Amino acid sequence: MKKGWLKYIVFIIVAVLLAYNSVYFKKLDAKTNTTITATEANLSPVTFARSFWDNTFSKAIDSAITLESFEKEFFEKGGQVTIEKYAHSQGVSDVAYMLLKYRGKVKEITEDKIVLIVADSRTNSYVFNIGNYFGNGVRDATGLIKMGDFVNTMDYNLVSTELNKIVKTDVILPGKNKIKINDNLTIVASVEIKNGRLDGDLLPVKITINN
Amino acid sequence: MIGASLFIFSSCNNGAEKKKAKKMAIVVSTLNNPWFVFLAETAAAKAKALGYETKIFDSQNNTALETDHFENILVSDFCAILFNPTDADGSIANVKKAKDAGVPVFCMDREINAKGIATSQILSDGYSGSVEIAKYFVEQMNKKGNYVELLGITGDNNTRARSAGFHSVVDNYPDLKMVAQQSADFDRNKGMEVMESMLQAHPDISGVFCGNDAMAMGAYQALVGAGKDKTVKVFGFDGAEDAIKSIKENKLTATGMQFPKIMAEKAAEFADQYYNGKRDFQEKIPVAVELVTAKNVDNYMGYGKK
Repeated sequence: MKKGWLKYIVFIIVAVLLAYNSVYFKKLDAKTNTTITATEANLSPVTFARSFWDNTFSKAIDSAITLESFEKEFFEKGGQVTIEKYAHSQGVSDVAYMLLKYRGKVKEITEDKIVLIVADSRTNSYVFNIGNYFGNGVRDATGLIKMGDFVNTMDYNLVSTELNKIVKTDVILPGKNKIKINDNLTIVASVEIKNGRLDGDLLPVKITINN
Repeated sequence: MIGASLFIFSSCNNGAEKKKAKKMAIVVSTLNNPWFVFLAETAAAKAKALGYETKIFDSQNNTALETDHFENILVSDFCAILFNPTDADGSIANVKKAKDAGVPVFCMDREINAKGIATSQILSDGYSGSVEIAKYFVEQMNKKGNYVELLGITGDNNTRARSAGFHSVVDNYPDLKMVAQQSADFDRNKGMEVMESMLQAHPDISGVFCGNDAMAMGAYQALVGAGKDKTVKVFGFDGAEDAIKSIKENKLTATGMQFPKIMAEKAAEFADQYYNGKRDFQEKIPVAVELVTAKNVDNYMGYGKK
């Protein structure tokens, strides 16, 4: 009889050991602090791009470093270190992107460009692209979207295309109609950096008229 | 009984962690294209330099044959597979089998449409590369004219990525009209045949975009045969040796330089790191594609930079 009980006790212990950690409960809100990837949320590139723009990218725009501060750090600490601190690139590439905030006066505006005179900069004027844009400046400027977040790279690429469309409809087109020569603007732009040089495309992602 | 259960668990763990032989398998979609030959041979050379035996397997663009290769590899004590998949969806099951058998798979150039199965995927950023080619295409065509497109293998992710990247730019210019689009399976001879029939139906074209250099070279041959090689601009993709030479000779207008050496060597290095205990690898790593034209062709050679 004793042997029979012992057998049951051993069986229960083994069963508990085997079952341990194979079933567990987790609060439904436990994942709220993690980044939601396109795959996890099963979102289409269009929905993912809109959600990223509204919820994540807008915060990154607000915390973009100003051109004056960036230049100060660039010349005090060195170009490479400063670029590595603020810019983001994907995988093996000579191209990186970052967000920079410019303040200045409009010298010229055409269908394709805004020329801004920036008083506090070592470079006197900057040309912003408000025509067709086909780069990955919006997707890659924050470093928050990774190729590995997507089951296939086509969705990852389409997210970039969709973000470019959002910039066009939400930022560029409304801005073009309002901006006039001599307006004082604050422009946050995605800056393309190629081989360590900041002379690539400047794509405005936020334009504020300060008159 | 508890002791017996623990023994069983610990035996399984030891089995899974058993060190395999220093042998890497290199499985490529085809060896009928010099670009993939270069990819396979570079991966093998790097693995050998790291102290591994190697064997190259040719899937001949056939997923069934690829499956046979994987089955042979998994019973032959290889420690890793450096893999160029034949089909983004069709190759998933093979990679899963290898993972279940404890053999890590490192994808090169082409991806599988799955997460958490391959240890790492080092992939050519074909979409962004095609965007760069397309911007140059628009400039060279002066934003107008009829053109045709030769696609790669239907269903292949690279075919889709290159075409989609190209059209994400060119379709914004309404005076650039695509009058025909057809697959030539990434093959030079088919590229020539398809181009010949396209020229009969559409003799008034001024540009051709091809999903790889082999098809671009075939298309160029067809244009020479039709006496149109001086008036039709040909754009390829890959950075193959003959394409670079043809750009120097003003036969091809541009190509997108992929870097098979970087992808193959990185895959072999990752496999070596895995063998030595590393487990946290970035799951997908894009490798940039660079635009090569007559202006910068002297900085490049076949399959890479000088």
